[in-house]
Amino acid sequence: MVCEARLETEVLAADLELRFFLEGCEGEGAVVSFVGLARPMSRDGTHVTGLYLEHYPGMTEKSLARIAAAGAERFPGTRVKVVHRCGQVAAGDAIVFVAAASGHRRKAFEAAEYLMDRLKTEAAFWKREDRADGSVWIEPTEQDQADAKRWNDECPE
Amino acid sequence: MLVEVQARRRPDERPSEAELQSIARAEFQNQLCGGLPVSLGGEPEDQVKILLFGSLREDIAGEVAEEVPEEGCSIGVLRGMLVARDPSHAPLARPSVLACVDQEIVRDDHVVLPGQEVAFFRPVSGG
Repeated sequence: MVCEARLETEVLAADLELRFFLEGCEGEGAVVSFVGLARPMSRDGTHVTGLYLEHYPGMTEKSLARIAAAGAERFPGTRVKVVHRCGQVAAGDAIVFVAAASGHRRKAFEAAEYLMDRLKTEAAFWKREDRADGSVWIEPTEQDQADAKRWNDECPE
Repeated sequence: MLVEVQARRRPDERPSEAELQSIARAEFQNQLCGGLPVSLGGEPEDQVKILLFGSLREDIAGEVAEEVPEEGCSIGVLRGMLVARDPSHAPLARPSVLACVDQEIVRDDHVVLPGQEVAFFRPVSGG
């Protein structure tokens, strides 16, 4: 399979995801993987006990599949995998796993970064930080928007 | 939280006496509130689901019953109907709140029909 996307409702075991991804390699010379973890601190330094990732059943899965497919299409010859958590995530736990396998490292690095930049802005999730002093819904950042936009401006290789 | 929008009865069903009274009352109210449609009620199987996500789900409390005409209405009109019904739905009128029909993001001129799934939410916070 060239691209794979999955919504994970339970613990995301990134080490196992990478192992399975590696087992699926068929002669690729480079594999890049990325794991996003729930931070114990918010942007303003407040202690965060956990993160709640609300999703839209059906639409969220479609958004993950669309992003994975776009990654595989943009970097031909690259195999990609996206696994994303939903629900309650404890600080330190994995939220997202992305992997890209390609003939050479450059394409694999770029594909992984492309997938993450799009996931950060387009994946259908609403994040709520649970803090000691209450809960706060997180808005998308301008940096995330800028990171995703640069792929529109650059020409694919 | 699930908010229900009630759709109009099927075309082959005759309105009941209570509905006719409700229609007359609604038409009167429409004159008072500038033509905004007013709920006429409807059968549960005719209802259109409206889903809210994220902070919007917490900001908007309570259930809404609103009519979507058989021929449908635009998302923009639906927003206006919901806000007219209850001031607490005011966030739904903001352009920053996105609308989705059958799980695809749509613009305000998109026509929603009875039976379709509508969702409103603020921009996703991403993965």
